Amino acid sequence: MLDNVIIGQYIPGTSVLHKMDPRAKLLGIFVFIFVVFLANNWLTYGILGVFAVAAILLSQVSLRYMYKGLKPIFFIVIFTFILHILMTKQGEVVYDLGWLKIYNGGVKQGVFISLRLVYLVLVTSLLTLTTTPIDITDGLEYLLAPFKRVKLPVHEFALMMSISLRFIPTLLQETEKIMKAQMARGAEFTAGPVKERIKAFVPLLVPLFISSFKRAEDLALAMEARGYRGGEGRTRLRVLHWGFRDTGALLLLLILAAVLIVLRTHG
Amino acid sequence: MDIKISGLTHRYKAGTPFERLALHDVSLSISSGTFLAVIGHTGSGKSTLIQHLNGLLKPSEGTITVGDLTIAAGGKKKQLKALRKRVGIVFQYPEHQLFDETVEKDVMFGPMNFGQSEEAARAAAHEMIKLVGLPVEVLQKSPFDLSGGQMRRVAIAGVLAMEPDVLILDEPTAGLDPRGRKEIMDLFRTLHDQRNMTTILVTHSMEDAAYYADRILVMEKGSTYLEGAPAEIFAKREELQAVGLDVPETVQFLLRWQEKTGKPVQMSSFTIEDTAKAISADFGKGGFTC
Ligand SMILES: Nc1ncnc2c1ncn2[C@@H]1O[C@H](COP(=O)(O)OP(=O)(O)OP(=O)(O)O)[C@@H](O)[C@H]1O
Ligand SMILES: [Mg+2]
Repeated sequence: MLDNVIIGQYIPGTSVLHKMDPRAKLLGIFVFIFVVFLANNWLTYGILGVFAVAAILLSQVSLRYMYKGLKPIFFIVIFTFILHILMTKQGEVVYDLGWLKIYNGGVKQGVFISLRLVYLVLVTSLLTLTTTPIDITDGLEYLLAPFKRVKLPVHEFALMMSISLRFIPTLLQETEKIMKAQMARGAEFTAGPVKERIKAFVPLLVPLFISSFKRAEDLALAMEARGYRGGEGRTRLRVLHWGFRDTGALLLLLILAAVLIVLRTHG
Repeated sequence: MDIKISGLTHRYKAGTPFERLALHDVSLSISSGTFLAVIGHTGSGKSTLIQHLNGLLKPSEGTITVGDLTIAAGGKKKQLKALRKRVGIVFQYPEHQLFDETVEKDVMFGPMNFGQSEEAARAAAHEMIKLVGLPVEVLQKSPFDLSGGQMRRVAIAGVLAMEPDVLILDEPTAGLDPRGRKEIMDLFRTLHDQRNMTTILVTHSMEDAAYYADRILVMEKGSTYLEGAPAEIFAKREELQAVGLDVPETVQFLLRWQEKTGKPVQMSSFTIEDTAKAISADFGKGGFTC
């Protein structure tokens, strides 16, 4: 039922992307988000596309799996696309319905913004697909360490994140289990008018909330029982290693940024 | 209600890197009125198998027929509701499915989903609550104020209130105290006999399988391994041990006894009383030698 959700899912593997230092991957994503916003014409969007596909190929995650996992966001993409087509009034009219005029500027904008969304989701999901939640958290904590000076609760933040990531699959499993139990009692989650459908979710949400709170309590108790007292003075079991490939990957991204800056339409 | 499963194969997460073959070419018929126990090592596919019987999982290959309804790979959704009315499932830890403000409303949820009137559903709730051994006062309480064992009984009442023809129980007594286990298992057997139901019990307890079931199915690695009457199944100790199972303790005891005394004992039934009888019969013959 919920088999296709790929958010927060980690696929074990031995690809270059798997072996990269999580800090490099996090920094890379950070840079990439800016780079995506540099593109503003067909050529630059094309280059970004090649880059994104290359990254997926490098990760050895099957394209079919990525495609299936992205299906849920297609709705948002299509929505954005239509919105742009309807709202943008630039360029020549390519289609005229009298009350509705579609401009080529709108089509172009629609395609660009949709592509931007797809690229962002693709590349960020590559992060979770190739990095264990624990690595992501370690990397984040390390990168954010400077903020500890200004009393930002970096360790707590990282911990919260790793707990959330860790429990996404559990929560999905639980959802599926309760859905099945209620469906066996005749509940329907996918049919009927909207009002009924919203009501139908009560039997699913109440048990989910209860079990989540219970789980949170258990976890807190278990952490306390094992003497957890926060980040102060904790040493690490696993040490991160920054290698050539990490520096290389970041350089590649900077080159990409430079290329885009040169090729983008100015003015 | 006769159940027929043929060539059933199920793959979880088909087409992803996590694909997993959970059932492989399972064929089986369960005739109406049978009390079937399904046993097998953990991960052998028991839960996967039973979830096909009311359409919660769809077969990757093969068909399932319950009465006159057939579910096939790639089939339509239409019949599912009719199927679910006929086949009730009590899941493992069913208390996790409770959600409504009062016990009464929660028990009425199932029957009302299947189109019963409010009065009929309420009447069913009252009847079932008594049947599972709870006082009628709990009906107006919040299910979350009850003890774990009571919650379990409420959840079971919620499934029974749908009056299914086929009742599926996935480890219904896991985590209950010994007395609660026996009460609930006795309840299922009584219901089975009184209402002409077909009952399928998934269990890890060889004793329960031996004591309550008419037939036993042994699953192993997603396939059927053995199927037969309890006496037949538990005569095959080596085969059971090969897949991480064993015979019930009463049988283990009798086997030991036989070994020590060197004389065969009658081993057709599995209750403590029958075991005691078998031994005392042995005594009667003057066979006590050790
Ligand atoms: N939702 C799921 N997604 C992927 N694989 C699953 C899922 N549910 C079960 N499996 C796998 O299918 C196989 C059979 O599982 P199943 O739950 O049917 O076993 P079981 O016999 O009921 O075990 P247990 O006695 O532990 O309840 C197992 O290998 C399990 O890992
Ligand atoms: Mg199971």
